[in-house]
Amino acid sequence: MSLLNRLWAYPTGRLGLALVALVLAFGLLGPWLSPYDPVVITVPDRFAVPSWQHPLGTDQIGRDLATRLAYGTRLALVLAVIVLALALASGVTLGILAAFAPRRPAQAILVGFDMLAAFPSVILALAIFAALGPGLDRLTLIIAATMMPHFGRVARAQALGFRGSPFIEAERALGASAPRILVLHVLPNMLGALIVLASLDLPVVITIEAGLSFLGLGVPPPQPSLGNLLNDGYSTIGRTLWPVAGAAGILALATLGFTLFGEALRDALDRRSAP
Amino acid sequence: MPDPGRPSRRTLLRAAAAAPWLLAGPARAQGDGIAVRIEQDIQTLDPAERASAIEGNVIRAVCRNLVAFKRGSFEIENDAAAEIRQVSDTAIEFTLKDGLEFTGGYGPLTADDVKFSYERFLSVGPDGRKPAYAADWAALDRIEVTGPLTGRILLKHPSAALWANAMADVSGAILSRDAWTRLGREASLKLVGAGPYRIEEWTPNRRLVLRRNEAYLGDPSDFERITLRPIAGSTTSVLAFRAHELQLTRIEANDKHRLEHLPGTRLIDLPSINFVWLGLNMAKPPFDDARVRRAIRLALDPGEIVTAAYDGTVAPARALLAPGMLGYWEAAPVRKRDVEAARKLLGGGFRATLTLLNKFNYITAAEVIQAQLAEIGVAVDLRPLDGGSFWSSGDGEVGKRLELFLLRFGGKADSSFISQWFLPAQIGSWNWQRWNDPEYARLYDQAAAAGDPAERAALYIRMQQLMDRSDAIIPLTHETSLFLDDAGLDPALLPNGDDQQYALFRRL
Amino acid sequence: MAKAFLGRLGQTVAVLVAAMALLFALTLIIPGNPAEAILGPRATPESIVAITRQLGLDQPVWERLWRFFALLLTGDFGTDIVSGRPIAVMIGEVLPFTLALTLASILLALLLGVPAGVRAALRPGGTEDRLLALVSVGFVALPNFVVAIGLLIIFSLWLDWLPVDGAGLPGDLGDELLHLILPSLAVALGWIGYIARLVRSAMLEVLGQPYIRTARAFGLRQGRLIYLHALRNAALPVLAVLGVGIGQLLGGAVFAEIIFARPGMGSLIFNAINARNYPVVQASVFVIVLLFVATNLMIDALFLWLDPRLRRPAAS
Repeated sequence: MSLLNRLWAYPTGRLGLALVALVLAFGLLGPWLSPYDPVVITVPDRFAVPSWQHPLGTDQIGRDLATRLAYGTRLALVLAVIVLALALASGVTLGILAAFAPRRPAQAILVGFDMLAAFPSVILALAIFAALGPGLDRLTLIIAATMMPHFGRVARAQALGFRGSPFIEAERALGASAPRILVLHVLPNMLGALIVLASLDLPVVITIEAGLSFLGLGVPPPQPSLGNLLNDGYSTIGRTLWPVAGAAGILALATLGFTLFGEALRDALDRRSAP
Repeated sequence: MPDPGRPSRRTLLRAAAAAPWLLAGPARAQGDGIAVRIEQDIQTLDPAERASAIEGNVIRAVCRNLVAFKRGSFEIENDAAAEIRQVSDTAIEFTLKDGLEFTGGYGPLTADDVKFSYERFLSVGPDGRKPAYAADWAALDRIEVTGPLTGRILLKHPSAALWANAMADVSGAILSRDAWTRLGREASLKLVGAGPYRIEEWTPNRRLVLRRNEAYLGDPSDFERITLRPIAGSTTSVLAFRAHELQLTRIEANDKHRLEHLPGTRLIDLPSINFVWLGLNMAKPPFDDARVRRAIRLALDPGEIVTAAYDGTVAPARALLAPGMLGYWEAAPVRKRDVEAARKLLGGGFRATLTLLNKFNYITAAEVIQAQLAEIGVAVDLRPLDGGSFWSSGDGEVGKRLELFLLRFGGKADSSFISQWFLPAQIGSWNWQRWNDPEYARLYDQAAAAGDPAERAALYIRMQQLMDRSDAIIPLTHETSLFLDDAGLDPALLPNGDDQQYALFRRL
Repeated sequence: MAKAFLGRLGQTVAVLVAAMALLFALTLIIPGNPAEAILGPRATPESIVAITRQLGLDQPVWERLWRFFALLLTGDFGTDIVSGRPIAVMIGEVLPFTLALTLASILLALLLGVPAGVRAALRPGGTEDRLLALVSVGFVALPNFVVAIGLLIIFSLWLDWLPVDGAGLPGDLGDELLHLILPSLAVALGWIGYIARLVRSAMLEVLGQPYIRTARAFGLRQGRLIYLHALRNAALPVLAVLGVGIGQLLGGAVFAEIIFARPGMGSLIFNAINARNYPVVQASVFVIVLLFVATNLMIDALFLWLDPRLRRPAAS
């Protein structure tokens, strides 16, 4: 509770919380509340302007846009959580290994991180899609892979900090095994920092997913995703602006909200900086 | 330049931005030219290897043929030939006009150049590959040069389509033998012809500039320069058109409603002769079962599909050949949607993959098909592919795995052109339905050799009846070609919309 | 210093080699026969054999890896099978556009970001500072393709002020610059926010130093003082961020190039993917990675030169 209070103390934190709550409600409740099926078409109703029946209008084949946006938001949120969990798990594991392993394997891991980081993430994704073709599964793995070195480096730095710390030395003197020390002491201690990092990366994941779907490399139709919806809207920009405005608007709200939220969270957890 | 002269803020901005460099920068050739959008960059200007109509249009402006299409129609008139006539079923004699010169100092256009240009289509490359358009001249045996300006085209067998599909079209372009041999690999990039235009500049991905050929013998074209600008996105091209950066651009059906009444602009809506259809691969179960194919046909409503995909701008098609073409099947039946009957016929549902080109209106069509087939229990997965993989997805072994697909073939002047892709011999290349009907092939050969148009028309109608009965080819539309055109320009478009006669573009 | 730099150089080379290996590994996971995929419907058994030989697909893996490295390192890149043109020439044609876009974006980010950060730091907690805090987060958060589409709608569709397609008329600098405005703004917007925030915090740190307070007390003119002392301090973090950010800038350029239909590395790669033209994808991705690590190396060298503390060997 006190964390929420501290978040609330920042004006940007308040805005962030509000936006995150809005986006979460839209993405998680929207699909459940909507009377429409996101993939059922009614061709005669295509390109309807906003009305009571269709709060954001309809798309090129008469599907309710608000409903599709809600499903797209849900997909983005779920995907982001999965991607971050994958990236965190693999990054932390490799990061700790790099900190505690002998010099050569540790170096190999670090070069691996550098190699992945040497590819701008969008470019790496494009290179892999070129070989494999598009798909949701590889989209998830690719984004996770580009996020992984970031977590790995932080985990390694944190673990290195713990390596020489007195309480670890004490544990070791008491005869605790290395895995035990890692799981019971090192991991919990670095988790806070990593979760902040992950929350800061959440909007980045949403952006990459939407961007690659926008290029037609992510989620296949008729599944709604924010990138597909943005592409649909961009493709029909000559006909109507509602679809592109809807998709761009949700993307803006989500990325802005999660960024503000993440930054406020970081500040709130960072004892040095007061509101 | 046909600019309605609206000094927009953009012009002022441009002037402001350009000001510091006015002295240093090269003068802009604004004066007497137009800019036209092309949907993709030029690949090669070799008439036998052209990738699409876009290259063909450039070749048509740069080269002369013996005969050419009249402005905006598929009627044929003399071009480089002073005289040309069919002396028998398998021989054509021609006499060239005197004084025709190739640009770039490559000398006079002679009968030997004609021989070189057409016999190239029969050659086989070092890798065993025939030229991409070899079929256009498949009937050619050889060309006899009987004098500097006279020659005889000898055929292996009669060919009714030769005039329209080869002689008057891009495959009939006359190249300079001298230029082609001297330029080597570069020849297909620096095309040399004797036509109304020459290539002044080609900057890949940015523009190709056609400059009026002052030495051209014939009516000079209206525009000194025609700049072709590759713009893939239709949205961007509409914006560029509205900014007066383009004078002619193709638009998508979705843009029609909004742009119909744009001031200073004409919207050209040209019913086309292309063919868009949903195909079923008869070699792949369960589509080998006639009942399954009939059920799918009954479950679909082509009217709703094309209304969505083309935003209500086109009518549904009933058969292969479009109205106005030789062999148009006027009495083709309209298939009414009957979900109940389809369900009964099908029994149980299944999953199928629909392969299509990754283009917005095809995806829209596919999503409607997906929804309509869901009603009879057929779950469709869409497989939108980029051009490269899409156009090869019907080939050989890969093609056997194809299930449903959305395909579009461009029409040409003669009905034999678009009919050939459904021949049994095309299985493994363009007959993606793997529809193997020897009777169709027999009728096709008969129509190709027949001289009487009425007889040919009757044969083409019988061929379309066979297609209809197969239920493997479900016609969707013949499309319409939509263009935005600047008020000052009267473009020359051939009836299929893809083929354009730049040299006959007129100033209004 | 030389030793520290050499160490950094070695690391860069290792990363490059590993990246090349990764690019090579991608060709091994291509489903089906790449030669057949590239040739498409016109493939005949003979032409497949010819292309297979040209691409070296019939060689053992190690041989192919060696050839691939040799090809990339000599900057030759081979010939594009689809168009028959040298890949190096194709890249050379479009690379200047991406470089221009990236440079223009960096310039724009510095030109707008630095003054904004300075102003905010002069009165911490003031209206301008609060406004900047919010606006800069907004700029950082918004995906650049959303910004690009937004700019396109506002400035081209509604206001009809700025051109949208391509890179302008070749040789006409004014027109080319005009075509650069919207794309570079779309790419730069996030960096304006980033740099403003960095400059602000660096300035605040410097302004809090005793010697600055002393100088202020002695009445040195504020403007000069700020720019001389504080900005020099802010330069390092800005430089560091730009080094890392070049990668994201290049990634952002992909979207800007596609949305604004500009030629460039991004659209080259995207079109090559659509045509399943792997050799072009590999070569252009390699060039981008090379650009990225080279910029980072340069910035690191600059760091070593600017900040003597880093000249000691890294103690990790």
